[in-house]
Amino acid sequence: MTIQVTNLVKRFASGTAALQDVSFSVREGEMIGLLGPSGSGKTTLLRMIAGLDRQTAGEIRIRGQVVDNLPAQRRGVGFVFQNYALFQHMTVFSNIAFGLRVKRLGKREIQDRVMRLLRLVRLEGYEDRYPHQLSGGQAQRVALARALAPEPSVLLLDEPFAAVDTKIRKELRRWVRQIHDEIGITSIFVTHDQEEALEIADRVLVMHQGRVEQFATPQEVWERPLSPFVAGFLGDVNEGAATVRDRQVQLWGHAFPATEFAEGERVRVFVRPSDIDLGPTAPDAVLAQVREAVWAGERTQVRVQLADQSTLQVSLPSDRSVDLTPGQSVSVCIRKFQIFTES
Amino acid sequence: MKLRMALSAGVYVWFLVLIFIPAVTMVEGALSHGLSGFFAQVLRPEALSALRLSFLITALTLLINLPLGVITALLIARRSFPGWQVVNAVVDLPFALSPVIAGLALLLVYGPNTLLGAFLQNHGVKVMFALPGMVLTTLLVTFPLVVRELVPLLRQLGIRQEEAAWTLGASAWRTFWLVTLPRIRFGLGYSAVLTIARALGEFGAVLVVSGNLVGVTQTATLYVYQATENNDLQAADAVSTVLAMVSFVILILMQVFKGRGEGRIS
Repeated sequence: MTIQVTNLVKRFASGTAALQDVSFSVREGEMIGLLGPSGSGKTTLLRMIAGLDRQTAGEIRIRGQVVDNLPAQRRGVGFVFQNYALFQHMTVFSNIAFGLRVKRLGKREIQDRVMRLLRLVRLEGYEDRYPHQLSGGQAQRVALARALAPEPSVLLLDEPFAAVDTKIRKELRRWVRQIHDEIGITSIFVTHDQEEALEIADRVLVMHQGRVEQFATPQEVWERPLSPFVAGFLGDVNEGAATVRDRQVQLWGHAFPATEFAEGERVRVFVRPSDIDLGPTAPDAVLAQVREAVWAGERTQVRVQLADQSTLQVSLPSDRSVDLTPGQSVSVCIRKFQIFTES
Repeated sequence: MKLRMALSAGVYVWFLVLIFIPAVTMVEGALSHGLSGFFAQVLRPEALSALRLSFLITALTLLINLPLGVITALLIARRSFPGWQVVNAVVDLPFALSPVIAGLALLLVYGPNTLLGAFLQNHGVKVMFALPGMVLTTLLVTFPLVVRELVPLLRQLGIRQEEAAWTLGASAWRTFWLVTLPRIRFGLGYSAVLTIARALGEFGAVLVVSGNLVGVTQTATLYVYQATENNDLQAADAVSTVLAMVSFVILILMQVFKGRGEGRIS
């Protein structure tokens, strides 16, 4: 285990709890996405691993060593800040060399290593620039090179792509993943963007109100969310509430089997728009009326209204040959769903 | 248009009456016996000793107040100790007090007839009516200058770059020299210049604690005051001109630091 967090609690002076009993461990070489809405405690958690904030209770181990009493300087953790925090009065070269100079490495070695890092982040020729002469993406890469220079065992990134244009964000995050694989480091990055987390993380740690909601692979988090929050936070979802009757839940014209719930229990049902299929009307099918259809490239977003006046959001491959003219009747088939008890 | 011309004319007249004419008259008075007369006045032992004392007090004040001010500003800006709000409020006290009262307050604590003053004197340390007391007084009246300049600057700059330095292995001490100090250097320069100006020009506070002994505890401003009282206007004009020339240099330095500071904050 590279990082092991046990029963971590953080309470602020005001008494509000930022983290409540957080435990998880990260394996060597993994890339973890810390995902959650703002205020869920993910940045606080990252800062505590780095030694920039101190926990109220609990333990953090890095490579087996308890680091609770080690200052940030001695944890061997690289940190990339949200707005990069580059040293504005230093050149790109001096920024990257900072951690090496602090270690009092020789001049030649520093020169070699900085040049190697500049090649790695594809910024050769930029060594004499100042941070204010760089674009957002370039500054991001300098921040990454600076954090990697002292060869930390762990790399922490706080919203690393938030300040970059959407256009280069996708490219940048794939590239960060590539660098992670190349140098074989263990990384944790904080994000509120679920697409980002699902795309490049080996495992996703979903946080909500200072607690870990789920820690699993992107696929598992997506397909088998453990809580209503995770189901609702990852992507769009149709949500409905109903009561269990005869081991079934009646909703949206469908009867969902609910054998593991007690009779009369209030439950919430979650269905992703992409897990619903529309087809031509047929006998015995659940019917609905198309209210709206918005073509969006590969997929078409459709809103249908059922006989009980409830509506469902459907995401359909655009090449599906169904008549989606508003007012048209279609059959509705729900392929996948999740049921949670209410509360 | 007419109004604006009238207003700017008014400002010019005001400048003329308030600053320009008095300044020219003073320089003229200093040079009334030619350049050699001016130097003769400035090089008089009492004048020279007064100027030397003023510069010495200023230098010592700067030497003590810059580091002390930086430390205080860092502590207040980062809220890193309990009761920073109290310190933050008390820092301004010397600004609110008349310098004469500030001097008097120190006299009441360190004067020869007080417990502390007598104790120090018995151990061979003469605070009041000597250099230590004058430096102490000047320190008191100039203390807010560095702190007041740096606290808002430090707050605006934030602490992210310092945190980055820590995660890269730099100790708090190295982080200060390599990251914090370079970022506040223009603000610090500006407040140093303000401190010099204030220390050189201080009169009231120093008057109370110095005893104004000619050649011993008489500063340049006290010398000018004394010469004026004695109707020795040429001597007063000469030393005043020296002080005014220093002020002129200070004015230019202030503009330099102010301009750089505003342009390079980030």
